[in-house]
Amino acid sequence: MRLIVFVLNREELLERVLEACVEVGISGATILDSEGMGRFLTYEVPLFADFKEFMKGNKPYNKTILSVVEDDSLLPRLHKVLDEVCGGLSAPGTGILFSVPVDFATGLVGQDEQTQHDTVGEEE
Amino acid sequence: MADTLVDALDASCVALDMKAKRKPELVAELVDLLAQAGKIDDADEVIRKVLEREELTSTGIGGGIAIPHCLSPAASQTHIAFGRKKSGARFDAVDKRPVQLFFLMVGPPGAHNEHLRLLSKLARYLHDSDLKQSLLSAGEADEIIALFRKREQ
Repeated sequence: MRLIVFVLNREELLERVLEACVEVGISGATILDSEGMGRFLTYEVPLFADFKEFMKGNKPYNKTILSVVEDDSLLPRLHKVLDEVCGGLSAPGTGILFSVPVDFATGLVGQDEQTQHDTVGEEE
Repeated sequence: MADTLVDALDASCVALDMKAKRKPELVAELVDLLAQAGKIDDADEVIRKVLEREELTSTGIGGGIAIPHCLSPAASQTHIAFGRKKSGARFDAVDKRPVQLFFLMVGPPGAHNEHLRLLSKLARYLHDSDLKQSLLSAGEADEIIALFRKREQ
């Protein structure tokens, strides 16, 4: 079981990104409005106001998509599809995808409370 | 390259009793500290850039502190000058209060990361009221350096 986090810098791609999520088997996710550190520092903290030019490549606002998935094999598939949708995540200003292991989750749609131990040995 | 504030701040660039009263003169007095110590080679250019930066928004961050700064070819590495004016001076600070502690930071063009790192570190340290009080009461330039050396350990 993993928590997948995707920070999408190109907000205009949100719809296609969510379609990609569904395509690889992610049926539920939480979408947060988020903000880049560079924007906050240069626009909200007067001391850093002159670094707007330096931060120019960064997107000011973004969307952060969170999803807990039981099937770890979703991740490489999601990575591949997101690369296609976003034009390669290695390019600056597109997005950041990462995941972390989850040892407990409850409240997920369509399933009972689970721990990592519960899923060991289970087949997809 | 200056990795620490102590690397960038030399005792010869400390003025514990600033004379200037208005922003342009305060900046000029701080810049002169760097120029007199041979840290920058074009004082007028630095004054112009710092004041240009101040027009964007004041670097008076509140609590009696200002950190005017700029990147300029007049500096080959990041240098800091410290000036103190116990009676305070107007610097268009965000809290509208007089400024007593001035830190001028000048770095070479392109040294954004180093400049930002030192600027952030300085701003963070200066949130510490004990450090601020020590800076206000220090009697010697070396004490100022020692305070930052201790803080950075």
